[in-house]
Amino acid sequence: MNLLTAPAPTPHVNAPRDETMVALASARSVIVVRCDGERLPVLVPAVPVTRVAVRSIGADVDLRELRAALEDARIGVRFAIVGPERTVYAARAEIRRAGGLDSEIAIRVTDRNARVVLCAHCRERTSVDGPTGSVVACSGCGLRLVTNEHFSRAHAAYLGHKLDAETDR
Amino acid sequence: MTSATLPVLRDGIDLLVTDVIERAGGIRSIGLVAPGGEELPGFTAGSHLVVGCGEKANAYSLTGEGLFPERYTISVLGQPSGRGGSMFMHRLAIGDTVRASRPRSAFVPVADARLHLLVAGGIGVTPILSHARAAATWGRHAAILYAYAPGSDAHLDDLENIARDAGFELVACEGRAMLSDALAAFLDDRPLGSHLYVCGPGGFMAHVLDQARDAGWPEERLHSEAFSATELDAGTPFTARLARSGERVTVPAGVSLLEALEGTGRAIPNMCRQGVCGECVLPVRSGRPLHRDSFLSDDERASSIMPCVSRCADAELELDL
Repeated sequence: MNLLTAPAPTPHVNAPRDETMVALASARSVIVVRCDGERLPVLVPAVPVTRVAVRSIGADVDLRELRAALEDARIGVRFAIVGPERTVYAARAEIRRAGGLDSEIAIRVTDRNARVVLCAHCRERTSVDGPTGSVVACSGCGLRLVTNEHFSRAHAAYLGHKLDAETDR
Repeated sequence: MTSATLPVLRDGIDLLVTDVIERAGGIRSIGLVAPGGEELPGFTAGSHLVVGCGEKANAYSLTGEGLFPERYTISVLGQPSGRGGSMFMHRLAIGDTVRASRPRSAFVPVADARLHLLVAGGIGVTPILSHARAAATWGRHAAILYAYAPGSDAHLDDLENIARDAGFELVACEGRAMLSDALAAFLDDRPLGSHLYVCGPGGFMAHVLDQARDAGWPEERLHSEAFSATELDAGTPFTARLARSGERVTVPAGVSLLEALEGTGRAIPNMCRQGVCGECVLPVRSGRPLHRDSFLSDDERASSIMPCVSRCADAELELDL
């Protein structure tokens, strides 16, 4: 084993991947969730369609329209979410909290580098534009955080830890 | 050979028959307690016991809700043309002792479901009764559809009592003629987060599941329990090729893949040896597994096998071992 070079990063199993839109095939109704004004065309079957908008403000997400649609959602519904990663995954987490399953959710991410970092020290959320490994100042405690590969689907965020946490002083 | 040699019964418990109730449609309910009257192992809704019935062993669903039970209750449909197990159960008298497994579970409720739709066909009412009781006990939301042949409405009174006390919707459907319409109405307009549980004869379950799929229910929301045979057929012989060593292991008819691998001196982690616990799962490289377990998901079945019960549809199965 070579201890001098850093190991190649292996994506956490929950890390976002490219998803397909196959979930929509068996839909009886569809809720199209457009994130941050994304206008990407979404091809849906000829079933009743509800359209909702979701928007990120920094690391916060305004999910009110989606929540209202989820109140009325019935079995047979499928979801299509399009937009930047941080907002898309926040919408998916909300749908899953309401009882939705991954197999009912189709996702198309237009910007992979739009992420949220969850601070392991103060639990504050900070938005970051960059790949995993990026360093960002925590908007809660001010620590410089490394954006880990470890992704939480429930939090829709990457784990961030203090940059020099493992350095002797 | 008697059923007492089955591993599941060897590690099981002796139970005393304390009461017997004859119900409509040739169904008999049997109450069982520990001989010393002590508390029995608890179980989750939808669990079953494997009971030694003379030379055979049959699985019977527990109809209780499972929390700190002092008594197990099962209901058995008498099948004079069956393999003899149910008639053995119908001959039991109060005071007789039977050998049973501990409760086993392969039909659990989904803990975070918003609504549990419980669908029973005929004698399939037994695990559904357990689910209904547990849902009432834990304050879960449930709705029940019970389809039965005219005059064979065993446990309908129990379901009515539960539904009334807990505020559950209950649809009683006598005969097959109304089933499709009743089911369509029952499946319609259910909130996101609902799960469906069905137990009954094979054709009934296939009908219910197909109708649910057509109504847009994804597989992950559909849960079913077939009346499991505890004695699987012997199967056809095949060869297991172990990819890492290149070794070939012959698996004769009547010998499980797990037993054949153990015969070569390998220690495969295992527990239930009945296709339920998932302990012995092995990765498959090639060959089509003949899955007979009740543990693996459809996704997992593409690349895994449970060697305690499953075999191979091809002449050779290549394992990543």
